[in-house]
Amino acid sequence: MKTWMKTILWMLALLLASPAWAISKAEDIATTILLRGFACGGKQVTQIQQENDGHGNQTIRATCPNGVRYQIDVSAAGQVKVHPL
Amino acid sequence: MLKIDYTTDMKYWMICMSYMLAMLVMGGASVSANESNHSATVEKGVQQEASTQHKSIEDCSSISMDELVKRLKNTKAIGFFTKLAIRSDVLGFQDKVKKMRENKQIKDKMKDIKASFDGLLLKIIALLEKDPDLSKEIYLARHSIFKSLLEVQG
Repeated sequence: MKTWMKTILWMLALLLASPAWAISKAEDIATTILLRGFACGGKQVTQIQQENDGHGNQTIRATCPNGVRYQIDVSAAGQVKVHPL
Repeated sequence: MLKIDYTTDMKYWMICMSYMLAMLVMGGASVSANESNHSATVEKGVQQEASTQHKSIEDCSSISMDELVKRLKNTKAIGFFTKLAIRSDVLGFQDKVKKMRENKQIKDKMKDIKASFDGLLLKIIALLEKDPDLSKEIYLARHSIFKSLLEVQG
Protein backbone atom coordinates (compact mmCIF):
# COMPACT_ATOMS: atom_id res chain seq x y z
CA MET A 1 0.00 0.00 0.00
CA LYS A 2 1.25 3.47 -0.77
CA THR A 3 2.45 5.65 2.09
CA TRP A 4 -0.06 8.45 1.51
CA MET A 5 -2.92 5.95 1.59
CA LYS A 6 -1.62 4.53 4.88
CA THR A 7 -1.40 8.05 6.31
CA ILE A 8 -4.97 8.84 5.31
CA LEU A 9 -6.19 5.57 6.84
CA TRP A 10 -4.35 6.32 10.10
CA MET A 11 -5.80 9.83 10.21
CA LEU A 12 -9.30 8.45 9.62
CA ALA A 13 -8.82 5.86 12.36
CA LEU A 14 -7.65 8.56 14.78
CA LEU A 15 -10.61 10.76 13.88
CA LEU A 16 -13.04 7.92 14.51
CA ALA A 17 -11.33 6.92 17.73
CA SER A 18 -11.42 10.37 19.34
CA PRO A 19 -14.78 11.45 20.78
CA ALA A 20 -16.71 14.01 18.77
CA TRP A 21 -16.97 16.30 21.80
CA ALA A 22 -13.28 16.45 22.73
CA ILE A 23 -12.50 19.91 24.06
CA SER A 24 -10.10 22.14 22.14
CA LYS A 25 -7.38 24.13 23.88
CA ALA A 26 -9.18 27.38 23.01
CA GLU A 27 -12.37 26.13 24.68
CA ASP A 28 -10.43 24.79 27.65
CA ILE A 29 -8.73 28.12 28.32
CA ALA A 30 -12.02 30.04 27.92
CA THR A 31 -13.70 27.70 30.44
CA THR A 32 -10.82 28.19 32.89
CA ILE A 33 -11.18 31.98 32.62
CA LEU A 34 -14.94 31.68 33.21
CA LEU A 35 -14.37 29.34 36.16
CA ARG A 36 -12.26 32.00 37.85
CA GLY A 37 -15.17 34.41 37.55
CA PHE A 38 -13.97 36.56 34.66
CA ALA A 39 -16.13 37.54 31.69
CA CYS A 40 -15.02 36.14 28.35
CA GLY A 41 -17.94 36.75 26.02
CA GLY A 42 -17.69 33.40 24.29
CA LYS A 43 -16.63 29.80 24.53
CA GLN A 44 -13.29 30.05 22.73
CA VAL A 45 -10.23 32.23 23.05
CA THR A 46 -7.85 33.30 20.31
CA GLN A 47 -4.19 34.38 20.04
CA ILE A 48 -2.95 31.79 22.53
CA GLN A 49 0.65 32.21 23.71
CA GLN A 50 2.19 29.63 25.99
CA GLU A 51 5.45 29.87 27.90
CA ASN A 52 7.28 27.51 30.24
CA ASP A 53 9.84 28.85 32.68
CA GLY A 54 11.78 25.58 32.94
CA HIS A 55 10.68 24.94 36.54
CA GLY A 56 7.28 23.51 35.63
CA ASN A 57 5.43 26.83 35.79
CA GLN A 58 3.38 27.77 32.77
CA THR A 59 2.09 31.12 31.59
CA ILE A 60 -0.67 31.31 29.02
CA ARG A 61 -1.93 34.48 27.43
CA ALA A 62 -5.12 34.45 25.41
CA THR A 63 -7.71 36.88 24.09
CA CYS A 64 -11.40 36.40 24.76
CA PRO A 65 -14.14 37.19 22.21
CA ASN A 66 -14.99 40.32 24.28
CA GLY A 67 -11.52 41.67 23.48
CA VAL A 68 -10.02 41.28 26.96
CA ARG A 69 -6.64 39.56 27.12
CA TYR A 70 -6.00 37.33 30.08
CA GLN A 71 -2.96 35.71 31.63
CA ILE A 72 -3.29 32.28 33.19
CA ASP A 73 -0.53 31.21 35.56
CA VAL A 74 -0.26 27.50 36.22
CA SER A 75 2.23 26.70 38.96
CA ALA A 76 4.26 23.50 39.09
CA ALA A 77 2.00 22.40 41.97
CA GLY A 78 -1.05 22.78 39.72
CA GLN A 79 -2.45 26.03 41.13
CA VAL A 80 -4.31 28.04 38.48
CA LYS A 81 -4.53 31.84 38.67
CA VAL A 82 -6.16 34.09 36.10
CA HIS A 83 -5.81 37.85 35.75
CA PRO A 84 -6.67 40.31 33.01
CA LEU A 85 -3.78 42.06 31.25
CA MET B 1 -82.97 -1.54 -10.43
CA LEU B 2 -81.14 -2.38 -7.22
CA LYS B 3 -82.07 -5.78 -6.01
CA ILE B 4 -81.65 -6.37 -2.29
CA ASP B 5 -81.22 -9.86 -1.02
CA TYR B 6 -82.61 -9.49 2.50
CA THR B 7 -81.64 -12.92 3.73
CA THR B 8 -77.96 -12.55 2.83
CA ASP B 9 -77.82 -8.92 4.09
CA MET B 10 -79.50 -9.89 7.32
CA LYS B 11 -77.05 -12.73 7.75
CA TYR B 12 -74.07 -10.35 7.34
CA TRP B 13 -75.73 -7.80 9.63
CA MET B 14 -76.25 -10.43 12.31
CA ILE B 15 -72.64 -11.59 12.04
CA CYS B 16 -71.40 -8.01 12.35
CA MET B 17 -73.61 -7.27 15.33
CA SER B 18 -72.62 -10.45 17.15
CA TYR B 19 -68.96 -9.66 16.50
CA MET B 20 -69.40 -6.13 17.87
CA LEU B 21 -71.26 -7.47 20.92
CA ALA B 22 -68.53 -9.99 21.55
CA MET B 23 -65.92 -7.23 21.32
CA LEU B 24 -67.86 -5.03 23.74
CA VAL B 25 -68.24 -7.88 26.25
CA MET B 26 -64.53 -8.71 26.01
CA GLY B 27 -63.61 -5.04 26.34
CA GLY B 28 -65.83 -4.63 29.38
CA ALA B 29 -64.36 -7.70 30.97
CA SER B 30 -60.83 -6.52 30.38
CA VAL B 31 -61.70 -3.03 31.75
CA SER B 32 -63.16 -4.52 34.92
CA ALA B 33 -60.17 -6.81 35.21
CA ASN B 34 -57.87 -3.82 34.68
CA GLU B 35 -59.73 -1.82 37.31
CA SER B 36 -59.39 -4.58 39.84
CA ASN B 37 -55.72 -5.00 39.01
CA HIS B 38 -55.05 -1.26 38.76
CA SER B 39 -54.45 -0.65 42.44
CA ALA B 40 -52.26 -3.73 42.66
CA THR B 41 -50.27 -2.57 39.61
CA VAL B 42 -49.83 0.93 41.05
CA GLU B 43 -48.68 -0.51 44.36
CA LYS B 44 -46.28 -2.81 42.56
CA GLY B 45 -44.97 0.11 40.46
CA VAL B 46 -44.41 2.27 43.53
CA GLN B 47 -42.62 -0.60 45.26
CA GLN B 48 -40.48 -1.19 42.15
CA GLU B 49 -39.62 2.52 41.91
CA ALA B 50 -38.73 2.64 45.59
CA SER B 51 -36.55 -0.43 45.26
CA THR B 52 -34.85 1.04 42.15
CA GLN B 53 -34.16 4.32 44.01
CA HIS B 54 -32.87 2.41 47.00
CA LYS B 55 -30.68 0.33 44.69
CA SER B 56 -29.31 3.44 42.96
CA ILE B 57 -28.54 5.02 46.35
CA GLU B 58 -26.80 1.81 47.40
CA ASP B 59 -24.91 1.74 44.09
CA CYS B 60 -23.78 5.33 44.57
CA SER B 61 -22.63 4.76 48.10
CA SER B 62 -20.57 1.89 46.76
CA ILE B 63 -18.82 4.15 44.22
CA SER B 64 -15.33 4.80 45.48
CA MET B 65 -13.90 8.29 45.60
CA ASP B 66 -10.75 7.09 43.88
CA GLU B 67 -12.77 5.81 40.95
CA LEU B 68 -14.69 9.08 40.64
CA VAL B 69 -11.46 11.08 40.75
CA LYS B 70 -9.95 8.76 38.15
CA ARG B 71 -12.96 9.18 35.89
CA LEU B 72 -12.87 12.95 36.34
CA LYS B 73 -9.19 12.91 35.39
CA ASN B 74 -9.86 10.80 32.30
CA THR B 75 -13.03 12.44 31.02
CA LYS B 76 -12.82 14.18 27.64
CA ALA B 77 -15.72 16.49 28.51
CA ILE B 78 -13.40 19.03 30.13
CA GLY B 79 -9.92 20.12 29.19
CA PHE B 80 -6.63 19.95 31.04
CA PHE B 81 -6.58 23.51 32.38
CA THR B 82 -10.21 23.27 33.51
CA LYS B 83 -9.34 20.08 35.41
CA LEU B 84 -6.42 21.87 37.05
CA ALA B 85 -8.70 24.77 37.99
CA ILE B 86 -11.23 22.34 39.54
CA ARG B 87 -8.41 20.63 41.43
CA SER B 88 -7.25 24.03 42.74
CA ASP B 89 -10.81 24.78 43.87
CA VAL B 90 -11.11 21.44 45.66
CA LEU B 91 -7.74 21.95 47.37
CA GLY B 92 -8.81 25.47 48.34
CA PHE B 93 -12.01 24.07 49.83
CA GLN B 94 -10.01 21.51 51.81
CA ASP B 95 -7.66 24.25 53.09
CA LYS B 96 -10.68 26.28 54.18
CA VAL B 97 -12.09 23.28 56.07
CA LYS B 98 -8.68 22.62 57.62
CA LYS B 99 -8.35 26.23 58.84
CA MET B 100 -11.84 26.12 60.29
CA ARG B 101 -11.05 22.86 62.05
CA GLU B 102 -7.86 24.37 63.50
CA ASN B 103 -9.81 27.39 64.77
CA LYS B 104 -12.56 25.05 66.06
CA GLN B 105 -15.16 26.85 63.95
CA ILE B 106 -16.22 23.88 61.87
CA LYS B 107 -19.53 23.32 63.66
CA ASP B 108 -20.48 27.01 63.62
CA LYS B 109 -19.55 27.48 59.97
CA MET B 110 -21.03 24.22 58.69
CA LYS B 111 -23.72 26.12 56.75
CA ASP B 112 -21.06 28.18 54.92
CA ILE B 113 -18.97 25.08 54.22
CA LYS B 114 -22.01 23.27 52.78
CA ALA B 115 -22.90 26.31 50.63
CA SER B 116 -19.34 26.51 49.37
CA PHE B 117 -19.33 22.77 48.59
CA ASP B 118 -22.68 23.03 46.79
CA GLY B 119 -21.30 25.84 44.63
CA LEU B 120 -18.26 23.76 43.76
CA LEU B 121 -20.40 20.73 42.98
CA LEU B 122 -22.71 22.79 40.78
CA LYS B 123 -19.71 24.11 38.84
CA ILE B 124 -18.38 20.59 38.23
CA ILE B 125 -21.77 19.25 37.21
CA ALA B 126 -22.28 22.15 34.80
CA LEU B 127 -18.85 21.54 33.30
CA LEU B 128 -19.59 17.85 32.81
CA GLU B 129 -22.50 18.58 30.50
CA LYS B 130 -20.92 16.40 27.81
CA ASP B 131 -20.35 13.47 30.16
CA PRO B 132 -23.84 13.02 31.67
CA ASP B 133 -23.06 9.61 33.23
CA LEU B 134 -20.20 10.96 35.30
CA SER B 135 -22.14 14.10 36.13
CA LYS B 136 -25.07 12.01 37.40
CA GLU B 137 -22.81 9.76 39.45
CA ILE B 138 -21.06 12.73 41.04
CA TYR B 139 -24.41 14.28 41.87
CA LEU B 140 -25.72 11.05 43.40
CA ALA B 141 -22.53 10.57 45.40
CA ARG B 142 -22.51 14.19 46.63
CA HIS B 143 -23.11 13.28 50.28
CA SER B 144 -20.22 10.80 50.28
CA ILE B 145 -17.98 13.35 48.54
CA PHE B 146 -18.86 16.03 51.09
CA LYS B 147 -18.23 13.60 53.94
CA SER B 148 -14.88 12.49 52.53
CA LEU B 149 -13.79 16.11 51.97
CA LEU B 150 -14.68 16.97 55.55
CA GLU B 151 -12.90 13.91 56.88
CA VAL B 152 -9.62 14.74 55.13
CA GLN B 153 -7.13 15.79 57.77
CA GLY B 154 -4.49 18.26 56.67
